[in-house]
Amino acid sequence: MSTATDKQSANSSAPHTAPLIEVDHLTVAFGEGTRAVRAVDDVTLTVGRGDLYALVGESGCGKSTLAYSLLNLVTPPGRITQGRVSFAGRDVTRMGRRQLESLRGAELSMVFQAAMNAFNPVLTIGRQVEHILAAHPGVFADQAEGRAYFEHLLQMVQLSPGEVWDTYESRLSGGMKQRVAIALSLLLKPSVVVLDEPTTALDVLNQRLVIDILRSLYESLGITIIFITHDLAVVAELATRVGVMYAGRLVETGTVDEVFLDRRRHPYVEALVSAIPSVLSGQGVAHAIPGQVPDLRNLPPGCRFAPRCPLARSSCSDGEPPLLADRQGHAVACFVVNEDHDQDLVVSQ
Amino acid sequence: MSLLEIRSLGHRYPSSRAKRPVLNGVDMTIEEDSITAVVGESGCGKTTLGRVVAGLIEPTTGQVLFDGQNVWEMPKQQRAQYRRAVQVVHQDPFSSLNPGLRAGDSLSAGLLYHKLASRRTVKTRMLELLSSVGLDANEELLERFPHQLSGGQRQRLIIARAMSLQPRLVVADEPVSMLDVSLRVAVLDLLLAMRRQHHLAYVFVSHDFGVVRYFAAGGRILVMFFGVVVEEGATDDVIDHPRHPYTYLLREAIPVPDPRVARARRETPPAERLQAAPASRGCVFANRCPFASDECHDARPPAVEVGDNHRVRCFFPERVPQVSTVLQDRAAKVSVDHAD
Amino acid sequence: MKLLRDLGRICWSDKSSLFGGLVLLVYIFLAIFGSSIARLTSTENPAAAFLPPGRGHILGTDFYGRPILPQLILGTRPIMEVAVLSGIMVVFIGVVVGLASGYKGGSVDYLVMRFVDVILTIPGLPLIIVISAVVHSANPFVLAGILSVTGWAGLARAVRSQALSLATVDFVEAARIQGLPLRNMISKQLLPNVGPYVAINFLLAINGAIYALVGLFLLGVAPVSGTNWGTMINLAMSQGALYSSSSIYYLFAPMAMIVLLHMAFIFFSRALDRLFNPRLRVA
Repeated sequence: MSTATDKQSANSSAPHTAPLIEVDHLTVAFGEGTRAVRAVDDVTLTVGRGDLYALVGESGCGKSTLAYSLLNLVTPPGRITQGRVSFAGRDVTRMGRRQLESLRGAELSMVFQAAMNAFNPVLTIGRQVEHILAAHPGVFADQAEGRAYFEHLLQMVQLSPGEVWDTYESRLSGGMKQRVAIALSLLLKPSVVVLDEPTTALDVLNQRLVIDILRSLYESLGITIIFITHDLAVVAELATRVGVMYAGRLVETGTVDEVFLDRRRHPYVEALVSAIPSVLSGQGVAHAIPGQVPDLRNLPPGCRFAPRCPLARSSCSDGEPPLLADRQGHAVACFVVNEDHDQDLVVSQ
Repeated sequence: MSLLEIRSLGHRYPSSRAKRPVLNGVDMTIEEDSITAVVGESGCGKTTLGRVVAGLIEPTTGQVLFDGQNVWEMPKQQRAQYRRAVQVVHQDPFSSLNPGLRAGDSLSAGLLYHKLASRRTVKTRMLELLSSVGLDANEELLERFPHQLSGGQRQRLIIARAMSLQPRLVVADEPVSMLDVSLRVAVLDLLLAMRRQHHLAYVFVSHDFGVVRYFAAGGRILVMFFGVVVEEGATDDVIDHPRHPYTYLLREAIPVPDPRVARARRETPPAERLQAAPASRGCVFANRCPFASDECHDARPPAVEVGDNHRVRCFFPERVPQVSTVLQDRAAKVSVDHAD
Repeated sequence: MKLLRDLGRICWSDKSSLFGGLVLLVYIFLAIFGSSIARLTSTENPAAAFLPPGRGHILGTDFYGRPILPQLILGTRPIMEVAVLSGIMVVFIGVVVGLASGYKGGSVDYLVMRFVDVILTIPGLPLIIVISAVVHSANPFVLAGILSVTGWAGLARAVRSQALSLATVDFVEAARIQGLPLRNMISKQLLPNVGPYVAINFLLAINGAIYALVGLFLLGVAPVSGTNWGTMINLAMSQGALYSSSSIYYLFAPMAMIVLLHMAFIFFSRALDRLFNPRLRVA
């Protein structure tokens, strides 16, 4: 394949590193009985230790719900109806409350969407950090050590401790708060950090800053990062591996090069890339994807993308396409694309 | 005579104690049937500028001239005409529609008040408008409340409402930033089609260069930084050959959906830390500018011509390097790859 | 009208508001048609005083031996008439003042709100008692006016806050951009959004007026003409109902009427709440 040489670059990890998080036939449903809506529908994927994994999709595709279920944070009326999520071999979906509480924040931490709104307005940032340290006494010898580590993290996100510790959240800008939230998520030295739309509310220069920061944190702390976004440009800049979701299903997984550059790609991913107007000259015109994302209560028969797909045939409505992987582990769920490809493909689920 | 002209516009919000005013000596000319994009980051004043153009804010200094007449000194009848001729498309498709009113009520209000349709003809007119924006022209849609419409449908309805008054100028403030990626180009295409049909002028406010490049192709761009227009010119000129340090840095910082370009960019030194506060004397960008000298802190730079109708406010535009050709080369290679 | 049809559907699906709505309808019916159903016996029969419920007198008899039930029924109209009038006045004044003040903003808003603040500090019931003692009128409009003298202020304040936050919201601005006039702004843009608060306050205002009015009659401050719940309680108490158990029905019957109406208001307001919230109104 034309992208073979590009794959040798340092940070693209093959999918064969030790799996850290395994999602196995996970289904998360909202509502009861026959009227239940499956926000995440039979998804199987693996995040390896040391991956910078991007979970991509548009609104309603289930990526946020999937991310929440990694920490078993799905609240009623949503619930996991099938499958499981394992973290380092332990089943998160079957853990008791106390086990989950010690897991969250300390081993597996999360930065929520619009994290800038997640700060307590009546406490200084410093006090909030002290509360977190007090709630997890085993991590540092004492408060002073914890504070010192936090200040080190602040410097890594390009903030000076002086402007943050004794400050109230109202004095900080949106971009600054986002970075403080990232620093907080790393405070208890987790091995995995999940970020929900870390760059979405930010403008160009702040976005660039967050992308650069996340990259450098990844490289220096050796953590595994999972981030959710709808912005493919950020994915290309930051991720090593990618999972694409559409209407609750996982439609493609692979390394960032495979998903962006391989000839064998899911038509949705192709269409999504060409729907982004590019700032570079000579990129040609952008094309919108006709139609809209299907209503989860009223799914089309067979492949969910078929009604909007330029490659669709009548047989695409007969059944849902399976996720098939090639030898490198690049998996695509599309009848047409998989059929036209001559490589041996194995079922990836 | 230009459609709308802004001269030496300055504005400071009444409750603001900031050192710099939100708009500082802005000049802008909008011709009929043209596209003008205003780009910048949050806090640069682009939204305020859009609101001044739309007549929603009376600026503290400067003039806003519509068809040659000062908007804030117009007699009532002409003011009403101006009010009708300039419409706005907001960013948030949900908050721009009254959640307590059905779609038909929101859409018909303006038509009926301005006597563009009578009670008998308004329904047909509304159905025409719906199909002109790509929505199903059926009465059932008019009966729905906003929360029963999708984001894309709401935005189209808002566009229909703006167009219903047959305006001459539309201010679009981030009209697609809250929509899904796959829908954005469709809405941009719709706005462009409206322009061809009605010979509209657009003022397009955005922070997304890619979207601006697509929409304002063939038009003009104004780049703003903390209330000052630092660069303006034809879209392609400004984006491909930026001559102000700020535009250059923005251009270099924009993420691109191509991992090879991203890797190549990583191999070059990272962008400067751009956290310093805007300077209160001299050039507003001086504290962050990698090419600044002492003169830059002393006096406000004048607007100089650097190309055909391409101006920057900078003492040393020649210090701005060419936009990284690495990106251009990779881009060319990408299109070649796609061709096979 | 779509509003009424939606209201009917909401009531049907929520049994408690259905109950509330039906009870209210009964009261309204009694208020309008009461005089055709019940008739006061004018003959006094001291021997039949304070009888418990029995034949010919379902709720017992009063001091003069007259059955209580017809008195209750006839007593509905005077109370409800005045209370509803008062509710309308309170809501009308409160909403108009609040919306106009909040939407205009600036110095107008400042002055109006200072005036409202003064009104709010005046204790309502004592003032009402004093005024009605001085202005001895049985005219329902005058009475309603007296009851409304301070009640509108709280509503004006709340509606004004709503109007303030609405004035900057995108869709209100969009209406301004379309050049729509002030009356459209108030009726189409602002009012539907303060609708739920106003509707529920309307019910609360009527309720408050009933208590105040009954209180006035009870205290003997309002001129008594004819029979109503307040005078019934007054008579019951002056005839020693508090000290003997035989007159219990005479005392409790009008009280029960008041409380039942209050409950009906509470239940019915749930339907109103759902009606004015478009997300709950459809589907």
